[in-house]
Amino acid sequence: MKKVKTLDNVTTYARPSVNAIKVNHYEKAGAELKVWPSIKGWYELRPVDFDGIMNTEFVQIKDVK
Amino acid sequence: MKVTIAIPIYNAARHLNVTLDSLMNQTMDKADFEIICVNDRSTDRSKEVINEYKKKMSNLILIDREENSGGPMIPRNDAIEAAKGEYILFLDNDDFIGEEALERLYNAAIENNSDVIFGKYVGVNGRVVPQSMFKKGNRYNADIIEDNLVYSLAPHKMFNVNFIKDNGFRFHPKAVVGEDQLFVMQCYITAKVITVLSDYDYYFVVARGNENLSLKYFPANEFFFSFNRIMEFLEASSLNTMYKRELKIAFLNRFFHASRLKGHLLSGLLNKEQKKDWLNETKIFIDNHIEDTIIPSLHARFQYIINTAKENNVDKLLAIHKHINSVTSNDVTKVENGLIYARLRKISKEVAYDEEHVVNQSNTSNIFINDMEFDEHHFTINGQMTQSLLVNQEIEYTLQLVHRQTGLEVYHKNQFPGLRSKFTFVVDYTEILFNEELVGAWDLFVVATINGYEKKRRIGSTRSPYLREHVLISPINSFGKTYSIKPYYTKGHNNISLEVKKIDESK
Repeated sequence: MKKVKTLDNVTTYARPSVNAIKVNHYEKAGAELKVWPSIKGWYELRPVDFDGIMNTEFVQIKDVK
Repeated sequence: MKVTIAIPIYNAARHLNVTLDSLMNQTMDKADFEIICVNDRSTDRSKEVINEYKKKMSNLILIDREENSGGPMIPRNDAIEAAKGEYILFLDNDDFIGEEALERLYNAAIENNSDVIFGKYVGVNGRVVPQSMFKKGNRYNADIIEDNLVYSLAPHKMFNVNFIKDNGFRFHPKAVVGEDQLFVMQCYITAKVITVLSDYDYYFVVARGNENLSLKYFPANEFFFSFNRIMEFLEASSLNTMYKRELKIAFLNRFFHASRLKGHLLSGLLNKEQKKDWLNETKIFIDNHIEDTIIPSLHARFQYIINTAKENNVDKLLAIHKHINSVTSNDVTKVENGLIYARLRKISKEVAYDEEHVVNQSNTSNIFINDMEFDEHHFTINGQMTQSLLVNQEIEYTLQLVHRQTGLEVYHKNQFPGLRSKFTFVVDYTEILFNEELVGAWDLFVVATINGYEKKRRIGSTRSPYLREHVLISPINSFGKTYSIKPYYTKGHNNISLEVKKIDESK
């Protein structure tokens, strides 16, 4: 796990694809995200819902620093 | 119709949109595949989610079961009966697939005439997925043993529909544990072609954090149902005798390693009565399917469990399990055919035994390089190696040089074999300079052997502090060619390797 910050106008997705359902959008740069390695070009975020069940969320590596 | 995707659905409303979204975005033409969602009387909004997607996906079919079946087996069978595709892919309602997955899997299946085909799995949210079968690249005609397929028995694969229908393969409704393993093993054993693709991220297996709910207690006979059927199917198959034996060993090693049997018998998870039930069924399984001649070929760490379980005595099994973890070299009686035996003796009111057991799994080793010198024609390595259970044994040490790219091995014997736990190797460089194609990295190991038992250690990471860097040796002449050798310590593991280069003398 590592912490990264978003660049401007970053969208996260429910699958590692820009065609996937959009999960979140960060208009301004600097939002901090905890990420884990995933497939080439993507990080996964491992979001946990209010009841402990995990959803899926991915961000492109090029969209964070 | 090229492909049917079968999704058993039970209370999946929350995440089903991601699963269906991955199917809506496939590169394969929608007219070429159908999605069969079998709703197993979900009590949440699963049916509504499917109906919403049906408005956008003309190839989505809902089978709404009239009664809950208690697991994914019967819904998968419903989908097999209804399938119009040449191939059927089983997808779970928590998971999703890569957008090119269907197109790539189907094309490769047609090209190779595959009965079973699957692609690389990706674990999501920390889910651990098997990877060893994907390490050799695409395997168009994979082998169950050679390609480690017994470690991939989940049903998330594509199967030729005629193949499973002609053979009458279905998910067994009574197989509440390992139902997928029974189905997949039957297919593996019978298939003429199994294809494994590693060139793309095909199937995403998602952890939701509630997986432990499925670890509820099962009576032992329910647990063993699938595994008894697998062993019977394997035994009755038309595979040749030698392959059948090797596959049996591979499957049993996987079974004892990955199933919940070991944990149920040996941990504090079950009470005594439950353990008795489990041990009794284990004994029946062993008596019916594991011949005595096969036991020495199984992983050493399972042998005492199998041999003791045959006696059907819970107290003794637990005592031996505890005892075996504390054996020392004083308990070792012999090393024979690659196995280290120790005598375990205990006399108490509750349990008494005095017998030999295999203890390879408890043997640990230490290796240290005292000195390493590289001169014009030779290199010399001095070091020590100890093994926790083989303190007073006459061990033979061999230096093994392995060409990293081809895997070719060159052996060099210990120069002074009389010195217990010490080794000295003086190696002429020409021993590895006999083929000009064997350039690049050579990795160095020490192999300690006694009566078929072998302990192999990579060397260099533990060494005298002054061993930091070594000079380039050049030129070295061998078989009329000229070479250079640079000894170096590897990044990460800090072990010694030799970089061999051929020198072009015309320059």
